[in-house]
Amino acid sequence: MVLLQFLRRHSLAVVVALSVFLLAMAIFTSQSRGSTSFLEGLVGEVISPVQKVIYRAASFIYGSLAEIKERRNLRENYERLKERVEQLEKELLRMNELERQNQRLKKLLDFAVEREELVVTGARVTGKDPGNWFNVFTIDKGRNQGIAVNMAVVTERGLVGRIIEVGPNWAKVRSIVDAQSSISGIVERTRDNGIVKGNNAFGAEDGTCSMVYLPLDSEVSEGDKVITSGLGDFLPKGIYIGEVIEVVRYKKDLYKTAIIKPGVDFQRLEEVLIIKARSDE
Amino acid sequence: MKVWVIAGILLGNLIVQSSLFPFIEVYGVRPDSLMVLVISFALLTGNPTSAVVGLCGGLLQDILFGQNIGFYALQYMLIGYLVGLIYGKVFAGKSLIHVFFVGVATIFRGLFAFLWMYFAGMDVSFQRLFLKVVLPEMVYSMAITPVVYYYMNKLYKYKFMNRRWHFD
Repeated sequence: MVLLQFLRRHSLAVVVALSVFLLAMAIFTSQSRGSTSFLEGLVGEVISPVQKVIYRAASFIYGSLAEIKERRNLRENYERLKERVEQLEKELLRMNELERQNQRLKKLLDFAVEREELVVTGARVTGKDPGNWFNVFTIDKGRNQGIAVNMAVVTERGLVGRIIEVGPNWAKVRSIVDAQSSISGIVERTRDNGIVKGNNAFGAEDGTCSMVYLPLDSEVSEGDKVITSGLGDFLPKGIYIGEVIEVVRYKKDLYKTAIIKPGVDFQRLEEVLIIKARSDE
Repeated sequence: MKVWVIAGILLGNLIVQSSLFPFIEVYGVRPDSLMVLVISFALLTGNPTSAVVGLCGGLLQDILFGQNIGFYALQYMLIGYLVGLIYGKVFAGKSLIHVFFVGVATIFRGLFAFLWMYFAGMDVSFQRLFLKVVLPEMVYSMAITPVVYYYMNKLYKYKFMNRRWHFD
């Protein structure tokens, strides 16, 4: 009782002390941590299933609404898609030819086959970061399903991000558009290496990445595709990241920067695939 | 009873915020419903409830989604405490004072986030941050404030919500 009365009488001091403590905690925990603490694990375990149900219900409602809208544009879409199919078929033919050629050349040069079987497991998104500042989300698979920190997270449309924390049955993923994310990428056409950083420090509405440290003589241009380089970090090589939409050079920089629109739609993520970092791990 | 109701509100808010809000985003911006709640508590009941609600709500967000434990907790606790200080000094009844405080608090959070990112060495443009995130979020949050406040006000008509904490 005495303690509680003391707390009440000195509320300002308590708030100041708590503020200092929380600030220290925030700074301390901003250094990246691999595994979750006991408390985090517990809270995650309790909330995750509930979140999952609600998120699925919300996705269903959203999906139904989107479908109605979609039907209106059906005819228009049909024509456009038909054209697109033709275009893609042509592309496919060309690609097949190139692939065969590539394989022949690879054998010829005795290239080591870099990645064989990347073990893949599927997971459902159970919740998104509630704020507008950072882009971290949780999935419904964790340590018990063999997920570990730094594994790559992808969808059929390309790289999503990587695992930053693992709980027993859930994990946190940092997306590539998050401002704290940086991965090494390569421009597919020009083979320029660079670092792909997220632009979403400014809020989720942007949804782009910046590829920095591109050499000044780089011929990168709009429409170029960017893939992971497999250099330095844990991501396997050759995962599609996105397409260049703008190339800029800031006056003070000694390199070019390419703005990339990721292939993945970060606003509507439902299922993702987890790729083991390297097949030999 | 009161504690459980508040805990339920916070948990429910967290779940709704992280599960439903992605679908009601407008240009990637979502209302900050936790802040609206904290300010409603602050104007309806004052300290220490509002500061504790801010602290706990923020902490829950930190634990589940944040990478920096304490980042949200600190902001919401301070908002709860500071707004809670004026409890009883203004008449919050039919005026739009709560909407005003939500606006001010959003700016406060924007400043906090800017300073945090600045000191973390991130390349942030102050102008862009405010124009593209803080302002839209402020408008969106302010828009939902009357609705949330209306129901919170109704909740506080119940006797058990007005019972004082045993150390008051």
